[in-house]
Amino acid sequence: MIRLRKSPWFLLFFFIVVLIFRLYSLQMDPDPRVRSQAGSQYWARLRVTTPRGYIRDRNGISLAISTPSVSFFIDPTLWEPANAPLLQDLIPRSRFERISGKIDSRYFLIARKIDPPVSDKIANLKLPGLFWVKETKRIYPQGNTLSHVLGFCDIDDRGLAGSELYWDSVLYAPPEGRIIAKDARGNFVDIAIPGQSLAVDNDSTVQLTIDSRLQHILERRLREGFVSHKAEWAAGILLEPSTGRILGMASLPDFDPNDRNTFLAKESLRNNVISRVFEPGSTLKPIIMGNLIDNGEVSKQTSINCQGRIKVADVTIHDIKSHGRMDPSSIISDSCNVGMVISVRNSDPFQTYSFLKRCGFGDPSGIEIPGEESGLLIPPSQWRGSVPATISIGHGIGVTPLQLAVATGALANGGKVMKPYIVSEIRSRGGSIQYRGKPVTVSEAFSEKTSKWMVEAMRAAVEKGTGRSAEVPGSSVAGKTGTAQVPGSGGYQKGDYTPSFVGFWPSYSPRYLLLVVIGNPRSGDFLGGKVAAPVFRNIVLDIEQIS
Amino acid sequence: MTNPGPLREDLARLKEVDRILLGSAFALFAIGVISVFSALAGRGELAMSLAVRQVVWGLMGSVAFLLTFTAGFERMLKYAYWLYGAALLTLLILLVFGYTAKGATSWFDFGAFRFQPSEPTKVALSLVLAVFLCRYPPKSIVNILGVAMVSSLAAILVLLQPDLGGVLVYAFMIFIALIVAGTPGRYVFLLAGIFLLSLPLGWSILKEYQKLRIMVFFDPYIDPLGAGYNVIQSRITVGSGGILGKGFLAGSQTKLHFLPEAHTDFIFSVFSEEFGFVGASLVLLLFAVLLWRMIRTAARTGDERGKILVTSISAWIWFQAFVNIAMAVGIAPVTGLALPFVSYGGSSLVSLGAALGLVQSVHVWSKRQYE
Repeated sequence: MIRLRKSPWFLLFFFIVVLIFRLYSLQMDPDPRVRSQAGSQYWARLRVTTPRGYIRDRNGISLAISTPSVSFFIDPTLWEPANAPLLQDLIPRSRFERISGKIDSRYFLIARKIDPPVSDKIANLKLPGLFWVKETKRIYPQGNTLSHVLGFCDIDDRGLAGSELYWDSVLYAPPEGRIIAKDARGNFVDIAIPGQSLAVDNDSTVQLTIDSRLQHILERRLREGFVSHKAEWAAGILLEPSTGRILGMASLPDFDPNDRNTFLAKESLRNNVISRVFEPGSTLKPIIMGNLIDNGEVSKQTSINCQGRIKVADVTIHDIKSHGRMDPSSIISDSCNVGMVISVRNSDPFQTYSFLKRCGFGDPSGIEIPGEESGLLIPPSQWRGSVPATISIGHGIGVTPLQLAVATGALANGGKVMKPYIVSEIRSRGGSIQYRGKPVTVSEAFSEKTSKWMVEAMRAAVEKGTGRSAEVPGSSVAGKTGTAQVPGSGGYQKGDYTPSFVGFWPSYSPRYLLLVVIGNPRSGDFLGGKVAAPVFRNIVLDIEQIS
Repeated sequence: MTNPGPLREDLARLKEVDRILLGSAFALFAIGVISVFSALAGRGELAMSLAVRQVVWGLMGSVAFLLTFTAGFERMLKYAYWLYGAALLTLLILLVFGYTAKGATSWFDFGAFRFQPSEPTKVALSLVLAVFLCRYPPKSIVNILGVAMVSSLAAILVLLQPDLGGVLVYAFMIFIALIVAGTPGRYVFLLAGIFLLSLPLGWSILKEYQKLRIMVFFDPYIDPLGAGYNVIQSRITVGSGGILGKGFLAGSQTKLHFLPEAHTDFIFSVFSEEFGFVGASLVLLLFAVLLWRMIRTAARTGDERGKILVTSISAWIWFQAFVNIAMAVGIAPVTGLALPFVSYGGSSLVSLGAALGLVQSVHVWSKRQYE
């Protein structure tokens, strides 16, 4: 009986200890195999995109928004490859080929971010093993408009270019974790991961200084010139000279941020306004001349005799014709190369260099979009031989269209160089203002007197000089043409030109500054006054019409 | 002492029952109702309807408890052979007219409910063992063979269904009853030896699926989507509970129907997933208390028949509880044994109610002895 009294207790205790130990090992310290299987067996933890913030123009018009879309995937264990032909025309070709055969992966994405008409079609097929999840998709309601400034995102809605990239930290909303569970009967369950709340709305906003209406005009007219002259590239920039606020920025060739196929041509993705470095040619002359007057190297009464050519060091600089006696005003209005070269012959390279730096050349302007170039400004210690002379006529110096516009803007703004800005306001989620674009004076490049005088000279260039085709009666346009040669390997490329026109209006109180650059026109004229100035004129006409 | 009083007096004795025993049984039953509901929560109205049914079965079990308790274990022992005979007859009829599900004929289908005769047979077997072993103490090989023959009638009928798990319960009950009845040690070892030697023979008469079940116990991954599926899923379910569990109705394994037989065989896994290590340990603790009180009653009673009766019943509950839980945590092969008081099932609850009535009857009687 002793055995009876003791052994049941022992057995009871023993079994409980064994079971508790087993429970402990299972629950407190699960076998990694069990754990991984529990994880892989029925969940796919998908990360779906949530709405990015808005990009709007200065008037609140939406330029980039996020809209609902649907992504489809299949579970190969339930998928019947024989059903694949039903999807043939609805999903990308490569994906279609994969799902027609055997697939080894557990979740296979077949189409991401499909828009309603097609997504409804796919969903309505009700194919076994085909599942879907809702996501958001970035769309650009205005298509190609402002595409370089806006940029684009990758498929997971991370900014890859333009403002989307520059302000990604503001616009980006972290993806939402979703548990896509399939129960043992093959039913499909879509559950949000606890703690990762649904991003109902993302009201973060990047508000640009761009005015969509002006942007449309700028793009349309620039494209006309670009197409009719069969140019390789073109750039157009419209800004407010008194503040540096950018109202329009256009670059050609362009792309449609909604259509990934248009991203394939690399040239299309380049924003020529900030990422293209070119030799400006004569459009630089008013800036150089302004400096000479401020320095006293040239006075308004200085008289120079243009004989149509001049030899400087080892090069000969030509003019179209012998201009005869010229004063600084007529040098600008008739774009006299010889006059410029003679005027700068006593200039101090170090002074000129620091002046050009003050104007913003050789450094990025700091505008709030990525990809800006600094341009090419060789240090004054290397300004030997013909260099100071060629720089005076806009050669041997590389600038971006934006730099040229900003520096010319100083002439229109009483001599003050304004920092260009394209963002008027950044609101982070919840509406707090994170950044605000403000006019910033970078430097004083010209005296007010000189800039006023130069405005008159540029007005004369449009009234009676090389820029006559930019004249718009009643608008008092002041401007300067440029027809630069294009440097290549071993000298300037024969037949390659960069016609440009920079100007502002009304000249007595400049409200707009506009630069038009047409790169390498292959058809028709090549002179700035014949190619760029008419585009400029059309833009002024259109803007005047709506304002 | 063979003179039970009128009904009122019997009911008055209810005050003297072992409340700890009854309380732990009731707690297990409550856990069962919760888990049945949770196990089926993913299937709409079925959850509530089966949970309600389980409560109704619990009430029926209470009625069975009152019946056996008021009748008293001594009167029940008098009718032991009759009850056992009736059980055997029912099992025989079952083999002819029973309802076949999943390859086994274990049920009578009465439309509104099903009845599983092998459950009440456990009560009858306990009674028969108690009477027989006292009448013919297992001191001689002849008596042992006698009890083996009498009790193996039930085992054979259940084996024919076939219900291997049920047979194992019977075998364990008989084995424990023999030990308690004072079988000499050499015979116990002889029996154990015969059991071990017959294992290879037993293996050969097992059906393919039964062999597979035992093989997957050693490595469930040899047939992960077939025989090993239950084992793997149950292990994952219990394992995913962690320390405090996922919370009531939050068990994803169960809700997504990965766990098979969730409201019956694998009810422990359901509870463990949602209430974790703490909840699972609580279930084990309740069983420990329950069995402790039963063994205590058996040890204290001066009535040899009562002792064997209570021991057989505790052997039944013990075996089923531990094999079921061991199966859920993957340290015993899948046998299809229900978890007493917890798993969904009317026949089991009613039979357990009747068994508890007998145990309490013995308890009350042995208490009186000390007065």
